[in-house]
Amino acid sequence: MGLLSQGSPLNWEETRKYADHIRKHGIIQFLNIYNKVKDRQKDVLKWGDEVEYMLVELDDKDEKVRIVLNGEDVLETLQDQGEKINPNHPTLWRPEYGSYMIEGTPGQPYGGTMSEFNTVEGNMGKRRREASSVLNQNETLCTITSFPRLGCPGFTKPESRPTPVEKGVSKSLFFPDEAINRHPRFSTLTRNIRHRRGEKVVINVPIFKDKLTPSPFVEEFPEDDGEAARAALPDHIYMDAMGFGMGNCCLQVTFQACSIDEARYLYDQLATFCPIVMALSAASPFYRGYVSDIDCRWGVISASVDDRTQEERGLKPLKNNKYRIFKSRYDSIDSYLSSCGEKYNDIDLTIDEEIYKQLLGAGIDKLLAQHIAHLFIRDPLSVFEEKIHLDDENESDHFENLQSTNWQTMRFKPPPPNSEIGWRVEFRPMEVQLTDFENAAYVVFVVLLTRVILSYKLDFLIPLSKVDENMKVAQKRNAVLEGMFYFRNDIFKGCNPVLDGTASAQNGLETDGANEEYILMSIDTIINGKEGVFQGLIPILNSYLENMEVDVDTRCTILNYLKLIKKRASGELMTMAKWMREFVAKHPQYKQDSVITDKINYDLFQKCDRIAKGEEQCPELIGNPVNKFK
Amino acid sequence: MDPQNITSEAKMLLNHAKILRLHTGNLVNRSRLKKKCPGSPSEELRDCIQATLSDWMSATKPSSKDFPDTLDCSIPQATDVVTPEEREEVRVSVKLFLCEAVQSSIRDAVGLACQTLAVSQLDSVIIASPGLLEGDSQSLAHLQPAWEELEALVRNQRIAAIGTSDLDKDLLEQLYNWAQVKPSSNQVNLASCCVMPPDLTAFAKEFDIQLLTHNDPKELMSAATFQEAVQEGTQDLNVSDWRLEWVLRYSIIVKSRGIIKSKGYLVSARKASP
Repeated sequence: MGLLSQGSPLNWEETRKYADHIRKHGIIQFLNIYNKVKDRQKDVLKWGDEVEYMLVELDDKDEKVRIVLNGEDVLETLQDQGEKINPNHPTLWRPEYGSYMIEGTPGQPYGGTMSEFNTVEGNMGKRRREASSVLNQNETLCTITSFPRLGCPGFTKPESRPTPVEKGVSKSLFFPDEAINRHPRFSTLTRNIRHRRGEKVVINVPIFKDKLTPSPFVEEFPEDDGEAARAALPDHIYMDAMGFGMGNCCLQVTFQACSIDEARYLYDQLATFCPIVMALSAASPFYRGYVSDIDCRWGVISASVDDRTQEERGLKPLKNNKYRIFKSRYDSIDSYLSSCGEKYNDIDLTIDEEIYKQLLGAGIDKLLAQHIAHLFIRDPLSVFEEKIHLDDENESDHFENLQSTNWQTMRFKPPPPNSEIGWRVEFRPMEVQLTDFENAAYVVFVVLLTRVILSYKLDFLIPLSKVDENMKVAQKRNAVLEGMFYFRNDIFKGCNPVLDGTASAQNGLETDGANEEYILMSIDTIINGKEGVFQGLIPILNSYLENMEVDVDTRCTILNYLKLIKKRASGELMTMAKWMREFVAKHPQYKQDSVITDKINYDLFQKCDRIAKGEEQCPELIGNPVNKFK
Repeated sequence: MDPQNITSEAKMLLNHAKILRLHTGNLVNRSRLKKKCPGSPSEELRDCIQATLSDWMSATKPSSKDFPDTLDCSIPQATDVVTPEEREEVRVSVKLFLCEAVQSSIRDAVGLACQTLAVSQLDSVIIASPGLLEGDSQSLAHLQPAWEELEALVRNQRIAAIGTSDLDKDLLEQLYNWAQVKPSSNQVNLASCCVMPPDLTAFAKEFDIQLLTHNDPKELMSAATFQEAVQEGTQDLNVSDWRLEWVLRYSIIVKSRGIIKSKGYLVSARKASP
């Protein structure tokens, strides 16, 4: 989750003193990069996925499953036996927020040829086996978005207790500091968010009201000093720590574009897909031992790192703060970046006016300038004493400091200084799936989508406020089948981008911009199409694939992936969220009271582990794909 | 289309011509125009023959006294050629559907493709043999004349690699053993990509023949469908009996980015009787 440096972290009081310094040099660093590489053209497609894993122990004696707090050791072992001794090692491992988490990526990025789609799942399998092989007995590696009993008594191994007093990092009533990665960046982020905000973070997730769920559902917290009682809403599951959000596992994809213009175009186009693909990937219905009424983690993470003060959130008039800020640092994007997107920028954009003017003065166009000036309304959250005075020509840490703590649905990534890497965009809304097959399917689907958008010059843009409305709908329970989403139905008629620096001969198209249309559609319509309404993404993808030379083996793999997406959209297959809900509902120990007991959780993880390892089929979740990558 | 837009010039040209060569232009762009996603390959071909003819009919022609035997029917501004600077970055692949066993078809089609796309060599040509009569199975003898033509074009460096479509293992093996220029690929129908016959897979692997997928029907376009498309495109119900000779589908792919730059059809038809 971003930049990691070693050193002595500053507390919030010290950090805020350097905020202007870091912003000022961050902008200089950005401008230096921009001026050096703004004209880069003809970069090839490279892309990679990032899968986050959690380590759990299945305790067969007590019939309990706990998260294991040794991610740092596992990570070190994996790096020592992998990338550190072999630069061509097929996997890379990185730390994540939870001390029970690790992140795995392919050792080398994938390229632009079709057959590489056939290697993704195999590489994911390699990662799973490699990491599993260094675990202790009874421990296993899961790709489950949210641990259902995160923050419940005794949910960690070794057992650790929360520190709900000021000296604690989170000061959480539920989430022990030991479950936060030991690298100082993570505890510093946690504490500084809390201190900047002026109180603990507040996460309220609506509870799923089952037959016997108390109504109203109100919890009491014995160790509470009053803060929780003020913050917790009735009929909601209350959480109070960054770990409840950043301790979830996600699935991300990053692409290298051929030029800055293509990166900006893809950033915009893919932004409209964030809610859709998120709902399709829904996998996190349970929080702190309860069944919730949401299927996706997004809002939980958003609230878990919301460092805005009461003034910034509009609860008090502005006095000590500069801006009223409408969203958390972790939220959907606030402005499109391409010229095609400009007219759809209809969200109130808070920007740092001075930085905006500085960027315009330096020759940056308005759209990019306002994007950066918007990211830079935030304060840095984690500053290391040794890393304050930098070489702005050759380093970008201050830029990255703010860039990497703006956790948005899409990320526009300038190349690192002095590197061979081009302009990139990252697609960040997906929930991680149980099996490598599913994760590969979602990743390949998104990459194919970018190829189709670029080949046919499709335009999916709708007003950004509508994308935000879609984001809200997408997280609701069973949004994949019940949600209606604003979506453009004439995707061939939009803006005509110039992406590779050459003016291609378009055959006399009028892009007058009149009559653009978006309507409410179900995900089934968006993915599979509906006569007279929308042709559907899968038919368009198939049409693209017909024109590419694809070998039979790869084509079969892609066929299975698209079948999964198609059937998740139509409801023929369940999302992980729905499957988990049904598992709990049918469990003999479940009392229809929205409570997930240790035993239910244990049985759920037993089953999940067997499915993820391919020891058990799960046709209602993933169909019957042929496992070619074992 | 307003019939008044059809110039009498166009009708005269069409009436005098013996051979019709039609180029649809870049359909990646055209699909934007038509605001719809292409359906099946047959549907797409039918739609774009009709649309190209109809566009061509209504376009103004320089008046001319002579009426060529071979009528070139294309929309110049809809054609994307490959520039010399980008030739290395793209892959030009072609699939040729022969509708009649006319010996010169292959040479004509490949020549026209090179000329239209402004390239000296096609990276790959896959041949789909004429539709067989019911109950008749493909045989080596059936394939040989076309293959010899292709081999000659490889020798002349008009084509870099040649391949086949829908051959089973036995026929592929026979062709491989007989051919001087070996097939580099064999296309199989999308429907069988997950249930490949093991013998075919093993043979292809051993002799380094790439097995690729297609989604084309056995007969891309029937004589009747072609006739209908011409009628609708020219708004002429008494159109002469045009017979389809061959259809060539090309695609130009930006190799390192997985992007379709251009895709289109070249179609050749001959007037059945004078």
